[in-house]
Amino acid sequence: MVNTILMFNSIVAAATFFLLPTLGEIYAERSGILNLGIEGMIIASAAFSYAIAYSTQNVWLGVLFGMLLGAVLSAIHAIVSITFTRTQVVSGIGLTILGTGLSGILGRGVVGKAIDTLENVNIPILSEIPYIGEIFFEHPIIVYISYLLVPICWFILYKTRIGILIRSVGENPEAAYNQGINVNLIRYLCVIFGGMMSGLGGAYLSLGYLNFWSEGITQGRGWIVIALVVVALWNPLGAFLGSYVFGAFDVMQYYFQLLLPTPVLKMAPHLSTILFLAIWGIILSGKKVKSIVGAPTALAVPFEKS
Amino acid sequence: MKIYGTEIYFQKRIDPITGIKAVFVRISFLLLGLGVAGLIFLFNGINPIQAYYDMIQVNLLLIPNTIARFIPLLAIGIGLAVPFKTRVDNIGAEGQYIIGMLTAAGTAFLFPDLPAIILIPLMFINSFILGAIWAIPVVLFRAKGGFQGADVVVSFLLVFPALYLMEWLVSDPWRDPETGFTYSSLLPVNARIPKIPGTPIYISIFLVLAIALLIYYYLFRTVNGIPKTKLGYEINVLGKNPLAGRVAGMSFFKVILITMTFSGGMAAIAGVGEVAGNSLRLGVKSQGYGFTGIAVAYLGGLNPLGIIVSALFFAALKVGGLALTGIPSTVLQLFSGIVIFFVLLSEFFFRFTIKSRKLS
Repeated sequence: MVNTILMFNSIVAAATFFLLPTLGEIYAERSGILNLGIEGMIIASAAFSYAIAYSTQNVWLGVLFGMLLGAVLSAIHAIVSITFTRTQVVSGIGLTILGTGLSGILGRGVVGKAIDTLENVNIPILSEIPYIGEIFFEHPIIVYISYLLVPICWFILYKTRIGILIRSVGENPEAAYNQGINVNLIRYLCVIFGGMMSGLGGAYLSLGYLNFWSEGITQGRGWIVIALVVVALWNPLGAFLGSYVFGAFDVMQYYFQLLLPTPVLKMAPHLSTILFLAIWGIILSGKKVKSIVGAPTALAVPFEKS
Repeated sequence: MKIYGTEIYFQKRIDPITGIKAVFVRISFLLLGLGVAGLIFLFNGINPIQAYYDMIQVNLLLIPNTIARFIPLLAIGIGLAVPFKTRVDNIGAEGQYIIGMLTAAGTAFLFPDLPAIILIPLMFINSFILGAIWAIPVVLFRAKGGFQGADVVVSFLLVFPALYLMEWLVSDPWRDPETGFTYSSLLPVNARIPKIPGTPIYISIFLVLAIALLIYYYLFRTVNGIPKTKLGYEINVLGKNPLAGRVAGMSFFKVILITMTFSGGMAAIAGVGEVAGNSLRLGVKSQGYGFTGIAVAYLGGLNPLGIIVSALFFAALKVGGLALTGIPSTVLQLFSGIVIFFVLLSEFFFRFTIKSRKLS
């Protein structure tokens, strides 16, 4: 029983890492910008936040700088794809490769060095609930932030004027532009928000979840985030569900080592993502389904003011 | 954009920059990119001038090594350029490359007694086929995926099963029994690709160069701006305006199936050369050529002739990178990422200029 609780606890820890960047990317894609650079932003900020935390002896400063780096990197993507109207796919691939390269240089001094990372904070009353408390309320603070962000992101996207603006810009930028909406400004803000969330995810990865830094630490999980946005149907609530499913796949490889050979288990997160995408791809290929789900129509289409 | 009463805006050029002028624009943007990389070095406590100077010196000393590194980069770059032209963004060349290495080694371990003249071509053929099969899911997702970027995500995710397969093979069934380290035994002598005497350059360089020129001749050669062959024309049209292509009766699925099969096969061929010409055994990690190949293809303007030059450039970066002590191996990816961004920007300036005017 103890072991099961520990497993669910680590599923929450793994899921949080997927959840944070997914929420950010949902906003970027809802505004019509596909950012394939998630992997790069995550890995670079994981390295940077660890290096900053190491040199300043302050974990939260590390988290802050991780988020800043995420914002800066996503701004590069925004400039190239929004202002200069270049292909978002290629720019995102460039960002991923750039981020991976940066991570090596930023983290070169702290490979394998141990530091004090984010501590688990037990929430007073909630953590005493049997089972639930141990699973959900004995984590670093960033995990609790992710719980709060899900309803907040959902509320802003669906129940406020800002949310309507974001979705209309992603749905039909020409119409929004003619209504006097500053399409590019909204897209910039959404992409940079996405970058900050990826940065937070990266900082959480190295400072709160795995508690070390080494090259290639993400193992391609950033790409799973991009798949997750689709699986979540561009909805923050769906992102919550999806992240926990994929978190479970991620953790399983450590718990089923006796049952299945290691290489098969290591492939599990990636292969299950491809499987999910195949199923979702078939579902989404219907035009009707797309309109019910509300997939952003103008996604990855550069907007040129005429 | 308005700054202090001056408006800065973009204006479309009446004649887009093409030909030799475009090459100069691209090279100047490349130099800008190297400058930015230098700045990143500077912020991280590395003297960029010293670093670049060292990189050039090493390359001058080791020209044959640079040419040996050029072979896989050229094969992958050419392989990627063709699907990129049809807007299929295959970024999983790394996975197809690993599959190529595994198939080549597997073939060699299965038939160690075949004479080299049969075994080596067999390794190339097998690897080409399996590399192509590894690329086919990307085609399915691109054609039927139902959302943007499916091909990109799937092609990347397929890198990991290949990587873990290699990890498992070298740590268990193919592990070197003599040393017990996690790499495979040496390839049998018959399976080793001959080298140009006195150099590390293995002779599949001629194969790869020939393919590059053939691809140029059959798919990219234009007469009055129109590709000469039917397939080349279809690739061009479907890449620029898929709707127009479909209305004209072209099969998008068929064309991307051909381009991706070729792409996966070429990446696999690069893998054969690497394992049978260079390292002679499998290790746990791969060299990351698949990702550098993306930058090679874009810097070369998705044109085989340009790619030959850009593959040489990146081979020089790779060899030069070895000269930089205390810098991790990811430095090549740093350059690749920066180069992709500056190539994108240079393409913008082929079509637009920046102008400014005073606001009254």
